[in-house]
Amino acid sequence: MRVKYRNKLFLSGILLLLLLTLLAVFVPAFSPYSHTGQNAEIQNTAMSLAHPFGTDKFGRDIFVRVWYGTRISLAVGIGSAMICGVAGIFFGSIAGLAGGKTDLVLMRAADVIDAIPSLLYVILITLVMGANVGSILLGICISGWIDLARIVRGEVQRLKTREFCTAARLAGAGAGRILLRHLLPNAAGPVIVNLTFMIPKAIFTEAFLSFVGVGISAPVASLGTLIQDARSQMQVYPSQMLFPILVLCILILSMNFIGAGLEQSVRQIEEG
Amino acid sequence: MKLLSVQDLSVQFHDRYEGQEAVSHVSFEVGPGEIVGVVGESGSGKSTGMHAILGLLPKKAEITCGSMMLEGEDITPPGPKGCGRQRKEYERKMETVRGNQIAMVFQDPLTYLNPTVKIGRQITETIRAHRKVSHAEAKERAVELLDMVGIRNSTRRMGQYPFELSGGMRQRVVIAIALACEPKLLIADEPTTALDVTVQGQILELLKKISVETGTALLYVSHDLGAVASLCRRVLVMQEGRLVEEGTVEDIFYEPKHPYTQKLLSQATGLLKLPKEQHAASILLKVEHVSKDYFDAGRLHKSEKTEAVHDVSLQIGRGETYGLVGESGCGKSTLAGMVTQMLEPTAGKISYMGDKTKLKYPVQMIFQDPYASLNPRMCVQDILEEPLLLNTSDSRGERVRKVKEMLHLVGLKEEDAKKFPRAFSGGQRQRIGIARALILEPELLVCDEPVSALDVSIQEQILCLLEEIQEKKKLSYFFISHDLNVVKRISRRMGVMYAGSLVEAGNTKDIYEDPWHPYTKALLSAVLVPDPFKARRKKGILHTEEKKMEIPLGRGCPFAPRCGYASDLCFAGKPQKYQYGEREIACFLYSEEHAGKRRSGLKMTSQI
Amino acid sequence: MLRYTCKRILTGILSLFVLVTAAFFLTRMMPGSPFQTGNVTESVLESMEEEYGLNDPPVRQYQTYLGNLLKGDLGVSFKKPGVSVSEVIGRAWPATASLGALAILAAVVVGTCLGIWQASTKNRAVKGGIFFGTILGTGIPNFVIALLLMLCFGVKLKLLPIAGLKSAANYVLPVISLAVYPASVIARLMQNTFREEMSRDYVVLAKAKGLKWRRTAVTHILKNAWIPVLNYIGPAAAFLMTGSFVVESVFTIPGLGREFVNSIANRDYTLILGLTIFMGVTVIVINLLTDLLCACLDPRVRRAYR
Repeated sequence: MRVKYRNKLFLSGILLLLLLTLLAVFVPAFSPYSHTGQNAEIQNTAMSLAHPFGTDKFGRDIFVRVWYGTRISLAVGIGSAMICGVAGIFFGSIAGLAGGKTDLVLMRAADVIDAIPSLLYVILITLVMGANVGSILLGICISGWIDLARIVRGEVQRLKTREFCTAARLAGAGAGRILLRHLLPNAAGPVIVNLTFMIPKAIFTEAFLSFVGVGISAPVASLGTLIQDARSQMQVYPSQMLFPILVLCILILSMNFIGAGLEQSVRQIEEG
Repeated sequence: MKLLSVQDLSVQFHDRYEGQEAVSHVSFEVGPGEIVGVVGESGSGKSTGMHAILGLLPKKAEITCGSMMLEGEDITPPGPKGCGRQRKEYERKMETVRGNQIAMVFQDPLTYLNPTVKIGRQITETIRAHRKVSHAEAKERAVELLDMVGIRNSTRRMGQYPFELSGGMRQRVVIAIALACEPKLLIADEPTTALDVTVQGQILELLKKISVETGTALLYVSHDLGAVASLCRRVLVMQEGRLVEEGTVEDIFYEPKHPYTQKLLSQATGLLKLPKEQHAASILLKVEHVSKDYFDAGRLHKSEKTEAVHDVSLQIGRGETYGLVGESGCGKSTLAGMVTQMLEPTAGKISYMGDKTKLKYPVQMIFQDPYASLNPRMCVQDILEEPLLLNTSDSRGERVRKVKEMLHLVGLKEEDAKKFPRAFSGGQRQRIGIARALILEPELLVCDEPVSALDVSIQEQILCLLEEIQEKKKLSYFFISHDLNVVKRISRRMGVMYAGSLVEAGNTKDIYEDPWHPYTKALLSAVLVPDPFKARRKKGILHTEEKKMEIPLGRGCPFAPRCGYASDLCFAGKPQKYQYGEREIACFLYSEEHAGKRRSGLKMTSQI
Repeated sequence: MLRYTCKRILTGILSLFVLVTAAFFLTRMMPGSPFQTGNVTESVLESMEEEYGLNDPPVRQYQTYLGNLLKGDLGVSFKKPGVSVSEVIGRAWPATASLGALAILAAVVVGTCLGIWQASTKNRAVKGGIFFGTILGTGIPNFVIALLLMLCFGVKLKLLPIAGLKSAANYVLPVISLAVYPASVIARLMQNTFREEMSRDYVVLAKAKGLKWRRTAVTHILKNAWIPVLNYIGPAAAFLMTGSFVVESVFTIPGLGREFVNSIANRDYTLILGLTIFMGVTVIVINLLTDLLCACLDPRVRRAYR
């Protein structure tokens, strides 16, 4: 009964995400409108068949712009999860496996970096390197890997004293084989859960920055920029703001659903 | 009048398949001041039954009980159909019973004490839950209780956290909590299983003393027949949730009627038989003056040195089993690590005389915990194949054939190769562990407590399997255990380790018949024989409060602080090894200079 | 405990140093001069740069800045002549701090209660309801919540004021939009740890001692379950700090966040630098305090930290 319910959470998350990804990939590719093309004749139109979400004050098609923004969100989310994942697993396993002074130095460095709020990094870097996806990714990843590294380190430390690791060493396995074959597969649960939760966080950060005006700037459309653009006309045309908000929320929620579903099933496996 | 009478108690768990009950239709009585033992293998429902008496089982447990009376008071738990109000009423009633009239002591004192609450507080809150006393009065009583259970410096201990105490002390704290309100009945659920042998003896004696002095009745749950024999007057035997036999301790141990009781007894005595004859031809492993120091890592300055193993020498012959006995933390696992070349000795030399060219690590190992020694993400085929992949150039077909052969040798089926470890029981997992150690055909196998996590009946099976394989493959074993019975059962020669040093070594038979070293004597006296008369006659030698084993650096005999025969000499310098025939001993009582002239030709006996 | 405290403070100071250094050099690397506003001639530009010391080598500038920083002087604003950064911060921080403190208080109280409720109730509807509520709470970005609340209660229903911080009613919407996310996180944390702690053996012992359930829950379970929640207050403070950016600009509150956003738009480098350092310091100090508090409550933390 409970297993079913949990799988439902995970499945609905996956389905939503799939739907959004497909729309984000295909709508900008096949739509007759582009996300930057302005048209003075159709400013601020309501929803219609030609423009499902209406148009904005420059006559740009919001439907295309929203899905184009979703692309950016997805790219930032998945990109940062991948970079942070690789870095976190790498440093975490080194610290966990090596122990001693290496561990001490790495973890203290992580403490120092982690003590500073990550949004400050992102803001400073986007100010220096210009507002684009690359600098946002870099800013997120400066401190994004630390949580994961701590988790991996903890798991590696816990598992490496287990007897099956000693057995593998006795069989002649090197550090690489022990890590890849014995340690990481057993640490996969918490690592995957952490990674899935990292994606919505990154998406949020990007939207937040664009909303504040530090992130991706006009005319390129990000969901945050769209919301900010529509804010000035919030009282007159609330739908212009509500559509990007809706898509952004569904996007983040779908990732949260996946993460929560995974978290629960991992815990269930651990509890037996 | 009876103190507690239980009629027709059954417990069923919701997640179990239909019809099977954890406890089914159990009825028994306990008289005031009586000590009753409850015996059975793991999974026989003995703890579940005891938890049910106090209503401590989780919600998914379904309890049905005809009646449960405590001194004429009805404490019958409401059945599964009982409504919410009945349940609430029962809970309210039990709050005054638990800890006040019936108290309980559990198996693992570490997990049962709250790690973030000071122990003084954990005792006083029990008192204050049942008695209207002030904080100061409760504290006074707690100090009294700690004194009573044999904890010195009780005032200071009150302000400590559980992790700052040793295992035995924690168990004493739990007992103090249980005794806080002078209960009429104390239920002890395997209270000594997680403890060392010498500590086990002390806790048993403490329980006995308390029961006699305060007139508290004791329900003692254990799988250990020896402990039950030494402690109890009456015994209940449980099998698969049913009470199969009940009687006085003499009846049960000398004239068991039920076949299950007979089986349990024969298994317990089975461990007492001696190993098959082994012929040690040539020396296979030589350990010479080996020491291992650990430096407290992470402290960049001031490195603190702790000595895990100090100046140990021993030899293992081909085809022989060498047993090593010692309490937890005495350095036996560190020694095992050095023998397998997993750890580098800080001083001394370990020379392996066997074929060193074939394998990277020629000495293989069997581990203690069958649940932690197999990677849960790999199937049996992969687990067994890994050593072959890394050490040989066998083809895939060859590897599969060898795995099959090995599974057959350890008594598993060929189909098992595709299964994952979770599909197996503890004993079967240990067989897989043995197969993994044997697949590279080593000449020496280190067995680090290979049976201590298993039930007695399974222990015997695994020991038999090891002997069988030894005969077939002409293997040598370095067998480590904290359980003297097991070492006696399997090894011809043995060593006794204390605080990193080998204090006595020689033929197993000789050491058992005539232990020389005071520590060996204490260890042997702590072994509980499943025979009520012998067990009661036995008096523990080690009465001093046990402390965390502190290994003094450089100076003094490590056992001196606990030794009843210690003189000034023992604190001033470390005794050398004195050799008498096959016996080696590190104790000043046997030294020529200090205890009088003695020629090594003379037949020696114990000096104490 | 003393050893642990010293080590934590040392790490904190190192973090501060890294923050100041990184922030200083990054702001120096930002493109464009702060005085380029179009109608300024070359010579005026140069003389202004000279006056503000921008022509010195960066290392020299850094030394001066560090020296001034130790005296508590964060420099003067480039864009607002004669206004020092400290003045800006002094004027703006009460609004942000009061909002943040209220939001943290609300988040801790609501989150803890919801978490315990979810963990200990048998009612499936309540359990599921809180579960989905917390997922929604962690899923919806704070600026979205702020905008939606404003649209709903301020613009459409006209129940609550939507700008400034004049009366108590002004606080309602900003505090809600700030507190939703941390409250959801705390509720989930609490639920997880509370459930975990409930299944521990020491709870069985507490029951066997005859303690009442409520007492066990408060003195034993809650004490242990609270530690992760307490640990989260550090990150939550960081979150609120940045959350104030949007909330303050949406509800037009004169706080640190709005100053920060404005200074970014104006490219007022000294102000950006000063605000970054001020916020970083606040978060580091809060982190440090919660860590020390945790170590005080849980002896295991002290032991594990070398």
